[in-house]
Amino acid sequence: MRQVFQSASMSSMAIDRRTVLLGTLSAIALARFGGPTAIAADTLQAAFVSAARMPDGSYAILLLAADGNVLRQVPLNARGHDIALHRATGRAVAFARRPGTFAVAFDSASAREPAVFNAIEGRHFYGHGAFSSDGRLLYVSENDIANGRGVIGLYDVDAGYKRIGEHPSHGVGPHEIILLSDGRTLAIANGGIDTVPEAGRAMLNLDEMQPNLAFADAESGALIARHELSADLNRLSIRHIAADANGAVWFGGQWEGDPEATPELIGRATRDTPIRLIAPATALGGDLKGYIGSVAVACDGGMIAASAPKAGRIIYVNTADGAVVDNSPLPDGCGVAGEEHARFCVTSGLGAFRHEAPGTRILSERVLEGIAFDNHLRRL
Amino acid sequence: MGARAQVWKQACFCAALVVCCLAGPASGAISDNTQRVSNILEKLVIPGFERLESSAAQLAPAVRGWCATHNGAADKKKSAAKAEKKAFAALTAAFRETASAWGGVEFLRFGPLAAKGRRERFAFWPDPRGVVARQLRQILAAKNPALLESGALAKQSAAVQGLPALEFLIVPPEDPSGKKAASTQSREQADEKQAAADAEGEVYRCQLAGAVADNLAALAHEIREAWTQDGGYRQIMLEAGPDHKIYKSDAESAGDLVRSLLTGLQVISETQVKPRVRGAPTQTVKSAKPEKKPSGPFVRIKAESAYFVGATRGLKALYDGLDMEASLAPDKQWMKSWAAGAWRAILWSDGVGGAVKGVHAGAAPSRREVAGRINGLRQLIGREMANAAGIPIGFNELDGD
Repeated sequence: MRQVFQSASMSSMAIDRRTVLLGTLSAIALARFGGPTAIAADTLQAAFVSAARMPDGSYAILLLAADGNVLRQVPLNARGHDIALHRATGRAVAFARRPGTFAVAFDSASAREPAVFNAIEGRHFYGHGAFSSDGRLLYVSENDIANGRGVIGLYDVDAGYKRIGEHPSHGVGPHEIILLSDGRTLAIANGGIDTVPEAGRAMLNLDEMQPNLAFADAESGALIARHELSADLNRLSIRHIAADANGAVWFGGQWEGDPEATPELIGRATRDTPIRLIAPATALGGDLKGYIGSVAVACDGGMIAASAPKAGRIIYVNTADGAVVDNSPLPDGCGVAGEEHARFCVTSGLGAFRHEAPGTRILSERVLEGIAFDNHLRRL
Repeated sequence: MGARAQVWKQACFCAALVVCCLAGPASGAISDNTQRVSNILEKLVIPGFERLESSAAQLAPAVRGWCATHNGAADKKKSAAKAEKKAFAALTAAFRETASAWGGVEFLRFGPLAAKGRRERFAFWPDPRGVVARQLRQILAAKNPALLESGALAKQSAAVQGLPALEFLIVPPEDPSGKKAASTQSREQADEKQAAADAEGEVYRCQLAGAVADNLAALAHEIREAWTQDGGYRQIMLEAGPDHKIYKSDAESAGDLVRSLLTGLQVISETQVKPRVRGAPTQTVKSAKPEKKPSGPFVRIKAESAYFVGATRGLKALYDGLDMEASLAPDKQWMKSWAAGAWRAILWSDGVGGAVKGVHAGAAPSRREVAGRINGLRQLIGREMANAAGIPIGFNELDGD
């Protein structure tokens, strides 16, 4: 059974009565899984993966060819967020978004039956995770709900993603975590935002936010360095990160403070140097509506892309000097993934799937009608 | 860049064409988003914040009226007790009115409510970690007179500034040891020294409640002014244009109103309706003490329903003001009747498991139905109606992470 979506044959995104009714009936029962299954395999090579909302309102993980054709989908019972990848083994894990509690492990190279695992009692996920360099461990950003303390959950992949322990995240509200190229250091974006599932997605501590970018030993969890923002920037939630060729970690933030005081949203730090925000000639943070949804680095590590879906913009920054080299319009654009030759693949909530090279041109673009690509796009 | 500009131009043209085609055939639709925004500002937003200002202004006199009768004397005469009861009823009525007015505007979380932390300061809720109680207990224990001075509370944590703080001071919850924070019962059994300390504590509690009420009145006034003053947010929303600092088009200013509607519906569903649906999956905070368990807003002072009904009526008024149904294509007309049924269920609910006044109790929709209707309505508005009305709201821009 093969199910390949192509833009020309996609059904309309229109909602019919049945869809609304189904949505109504399932509204309460979204939090737990009924057991997802991968729909069909394909011999074509998948090049990208992203969470998405489908034309009928359901949610799925989509594996896409380089031209945007959907090769395979892994259905989800609720909205997903990011996907952790281990390229050498093809292992992949998609996470529920904050404050969800499910994760779905699947194989990016085959249609093997996905496996679902859940956050343990008292923890919820923040939507992101990272594999160890050998692919045997999975690190997951989680919340110790009772104490409002960020933790990194440790999962044994070979034991069926059994949770074997946790490290502190060294902050509140850990969001994206990445393993740096040394294979030993985790960079952790502690967004500073406290959430509990009972209060939905409400941010509970805006008054007391203290985001940071932490570097920790992946094996022991020990803190190596923690960079905080100055007091006037403590409402800049550090959420999404990517490492450049020189080991600097770039982040995209979300401003939860006074809109008129919106700072620059993009910055970087290394283990040994504190956070520096970009300093474009014309202030950019306000124009980006205080919100960066995703950050990715090109394969050569020389350029980062930061998406600003509320402003409908993709910002490109040269990692060598922090200069903004392009500001590309893409309505509701959010997913960004680096490619070779300083190119990027970008997706939108309006179904756009585009390859572009910052500063020059759109290389190709298509719209997968009815599909809303979610926050993050990953290159396989 | 030239090719990109060309593609972008074509995309904009196509989007505009689609919008025109969708909206074109309908009759009676508001074609101008500026007019749409203006109507909502004048009929809902400004009157809503004026109502909040006038209702919040009634809180301080009501608090002080109650405090004058609430002297903590255990041997209160019958007439004094009656006076206190009457003053308490007046106070809770004033609180309910303010909670209702707050529900009617709280979902307008952009502009003046987003600035200076005003939304959290007016109502620090949800508060599953019991921050309001913890911080107020510390303040009550310290009895710092400086906090009673005019404007002092506005510089404190948001948790001690707003309606939940006032509720705590008027109707104290059980403290962690199981005793009432300060109750008449405990005073009856206390020795003279303890009774004096309690009386002193009661005086401070009342004074602090008055200061919180003053703060709420000042905040509500400040918010209303931020909307209506010369150069205020009303004006900002109506002057959308390519060079505008916030709104590059009138679709963007209208977009803030659609987002408010969608977010407002989501918030009442996630925080008030869904958590109480029987059998709904939840993950409880295992070690949470009773006072930390999440509950609806203003439960102890019995103003939860007033808040909920204020919110649902405000959201319906916003839905009506956006007038998106008029832009629906002929094959989408069924959405009108579906939405009417959904709104009927939502508006008939009192938010606490029953029906609003005037609706037969037996007709009260279940919480499960209300949650389901809200979910369906959000889908229709976000994915169909807003597009049809030329105010498309992106999937990620509405609710990313």
